[in-house]
Formats: sequence, structure tokens, C-alpha cells
Amino acid sequence: MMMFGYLQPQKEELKVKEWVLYKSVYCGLCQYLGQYYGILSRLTLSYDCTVLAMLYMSLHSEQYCIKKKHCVVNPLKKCLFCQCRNDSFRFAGAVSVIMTYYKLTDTIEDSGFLKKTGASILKLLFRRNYRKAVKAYPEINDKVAVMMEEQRQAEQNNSDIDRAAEPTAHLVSDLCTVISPGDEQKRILGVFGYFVGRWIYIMDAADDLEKDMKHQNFNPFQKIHSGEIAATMEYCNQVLNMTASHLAMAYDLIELTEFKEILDNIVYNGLPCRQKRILFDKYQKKRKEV
Amino acid sequence: MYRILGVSPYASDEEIKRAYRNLAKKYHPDRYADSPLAQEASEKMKEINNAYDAIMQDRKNNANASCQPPPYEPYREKSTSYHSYQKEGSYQDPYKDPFKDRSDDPFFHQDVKSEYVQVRLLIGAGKIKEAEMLLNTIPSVARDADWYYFMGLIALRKGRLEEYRNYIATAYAMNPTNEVYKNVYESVNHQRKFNRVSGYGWGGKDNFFMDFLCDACNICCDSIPYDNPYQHFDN
Repeated sequence: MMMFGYLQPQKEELKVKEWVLYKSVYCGLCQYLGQYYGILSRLTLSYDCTVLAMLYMSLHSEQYCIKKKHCVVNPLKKCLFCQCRNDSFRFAGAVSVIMTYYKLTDTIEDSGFLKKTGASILKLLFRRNYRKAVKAYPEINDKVAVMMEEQRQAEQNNSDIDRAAEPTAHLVSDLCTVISPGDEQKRILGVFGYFVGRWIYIMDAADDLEKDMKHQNFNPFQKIHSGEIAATMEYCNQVLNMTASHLAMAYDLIELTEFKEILDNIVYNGLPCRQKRILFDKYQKKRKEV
Repeated sequence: MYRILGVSPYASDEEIKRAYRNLAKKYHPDRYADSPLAQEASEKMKEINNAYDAIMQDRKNNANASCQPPPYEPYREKSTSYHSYQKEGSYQDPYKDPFKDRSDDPFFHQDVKSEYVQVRLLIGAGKIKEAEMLLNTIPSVARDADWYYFMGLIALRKGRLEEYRNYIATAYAMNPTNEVYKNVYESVNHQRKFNRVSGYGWGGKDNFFMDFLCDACNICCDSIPYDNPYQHFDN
């Protein structure tokens, strides 16, 4: 599955105003989810969908406004909320809700009893939100359903990395094509989305490697280096680097307006930063603890 | 014009030059060599070249009017090499007539099979399935380095980067003397290596670009008119 929050900027490289703007989009999406779908859907909020909303606004050079209000999660705090009249939050919100619903379905299928029950209850509570999102964007739902099916098949066939990453890559590619402002950008955005999806999938697979090995779940990196963690991580990093370099090639050709600095930061600094943190820092920390 | 280069109209010539260089590196045809977006990149490059030419022409005229020596002259001469991409037509449509347009491409100095020419045209036209079908008709005994190279290109079009790498590695192993395979193989390996140490405290965007771009400049050094490709990072 996708949408895990791997797409984040590297905070240290952002200007303060960019960081504030980024946070306001995050809070704005949270607020939108709360207002449109109800309080429960705020739980689906993710960094990836924030990026999607920003990309949407940037591509369409939308007008947005920023308001100061109390935060719902922490009422003592006042936050800035980005609001946009057009479909960017609507789209990102629908993606967020639909993805979470399918993720819950996935969890129910392959988890232990306790987790299963929890996910089932959540899914039941979530059903109304999901229907609302599907009504707004039926095509997203179809695409995610196709992707889930393809993913299942890929896992059954014990596919290699390229093929295992393809369902997610195609889904993100489709999502990016949908929000394209014109035909000119469509192809570029399709390629961009493909590599973003591929990067996210591989990142997630690398992140889950140890867990999957323990539970004997499918993981495309399991066969390589016969599960030796350090060597596999090195290999994952190479695969991710190559994906990121193709991702950046496509990204450089996209015409962006607002939020360009933040999106630049995510592509050029955020991705490698996350790679480093998840592939290397995490394991180093573990080794120290042992 | 100024917006395309991302500079203010009041920028100095030096600033404009720097902006142009950075952009030219970013959209350099070598960076997008086999990419599915090569066409789009070359259009962007053309746009940047035109904007730069127009600005420089504009400034030259103004400078001449006030009898000032045009300060950018040395660079203009050097920069012709970028423009050669455009004027010789070698990157305008590399798939149109491979023998003519890519005569500099060492690949076409060998006697290539007619199938491969056909495959190259099909890939250029975006007909990936047809190209793959054509390649699969070649019996496995007759599959040489070229075959693996083209299979690699098809994998790249599909976004299957690992497959692409394996095919390229095979092609290079089968025929290590071929310049094209060597360059592509090295560029792939460079892409995989780039950001090991990136993260907090390590350089900024520029450093990152340096690594991202141009395959350690082993290809570009011949074509880019920099005396020293790293020079603008010194300041």
C-alpha cells in the first residue's frame, strides 16, 4: 500500500516562511477532512496527501488564503490553516480517505486477531466517509481497486522489484495525470508520478524488510543478498537513488507556480534525507541498542 | 525572456550567465539521453537557448549604443557548443533518421541489423509494445549486445529501472569496447551512487545537482564549454 508519509521536506533546508506555509497546508487538509468528512477522517491525514494537495495547487496556480484558528487536536494552540476554493483539498482528501479504507481492508486480511478486530471496527465506522469520497471521485476508487488487485497478483507471483512496484507506481502516475492542467504536462506528470510511486513502494518495502522476514510475508528484497540486512539496505539505497534521479528528471520539466520551493526541497532534499534515515540511521540505532 | 532564465531584468551579465549555465546543465540532452522525456527536455533547452540569445543580443545592442565594450563576448564564443545541439539538429529529433542525425553516435558506425534500426524508430515513436515484439522475434542464439541494449531501452520506457540496468550491464559485458554502452553503464552506476551522505549539514541544492547531473561529467566534459565544470561552486 502507499501513503505512509515518506514524502516530506527536509526541514533544515526550508526557509521559515516555507515551513510555515507547508504546515498550513497540512493543517488545512486536516481541517478540510474534518469539515467535509467528519472528525474520524482526520486520522487519515498524511504527509503524502499534503504533497498531493500542494502539487495540485501549484499546477493550477490557485489562489489560497491562510487563516489563524484554534487547532482541533490541541485546542490551546493556534495554527495557520491554508484554504483553497478549488478542488485541491477535495481531491487530496478523497485520495486520503479512499486509500485509508483500502489499507484497512488490507490489514483485516493479513493481520492477527487483535489487529483484525480493531481494523474491522474502524472500517465499519469509516464506511460513510468512504462512500462520500467515492461519490466525489469514483475514478480514484476504481484505480485503487485495480491497484490492490494487481498488487495481490504481484505478491502471489513472487515478482521482482520492478514488477512489485508497478501497481503503486501506476496508481500514483494516474493520480498525477488526473490533476494535470493541460495535455502538455500530462505525459511529464505521468512519468513523474510513476517514479514517485515506485520510490514510495521501494521505500516501504525496505522499511518493512525485517518485519516481513520475521512474519514470512512477501517482500521483493527478501531474495536479494539472502536477507542480509546491511547488504540489502545498501542495495535498496542504490535502487532508490536511481529511481530518485529519474524522478527528478521528470520533476524538472513540470511547470510549477506556488509552493515551488517546498516541492523542490521535497524532491532534492527530502527524498535522500528520508532514504538515509530509514535505510541507515534506523539500523545503526538498533545496532547500538544491542 | 528573463522569466525563463529565472533572473531579474536588472541582473548583471554575470548572474545571467550563471543562471543560463545552471539551466543548461539541468536540461542538458546528455542528462536525458535515453529518457522517455528527451523530447520535452530538448524543447526546454531550446527555449532557454533562445531566451539567453535574445537577452544577450538585447544587451549588446544597448551597450553598443552607449559605446561600451560588450563584457560578455568571451563567453558567447565559448557557448556555441550548447547551441550546436540545436543548430546541427542532432538533438532535435534523434529518432527521425538515425544514420544522418546521430552520425556522431558510435553505435551507428557499426553495421547494425535492419531490425535494430526499426526498433530504434519504434521506440522513438513511443510504440514500445511493437518494438518489444520485434525484438522477441530474434532467436536467442542471435541475441547480441545490441539486442540487450534495446531491451534495456524498452525497460526504461516502462520505468523498470532494475531490468534496464541488468540489460545495460549485459550489453556492456558482451561488448565492452562500445562507447555507447560504456557511457550508459557508467551513467547508471553513477545514478545509483549519488547521495550516500546527503542529509543535514551536507551541502545544498547545488551540490545535490552536481551529483544528480551528467554522469560525473565524463560525457559532458567533451561537450560543455566549461574550463572547469566545478568552477561556479567555488564562489
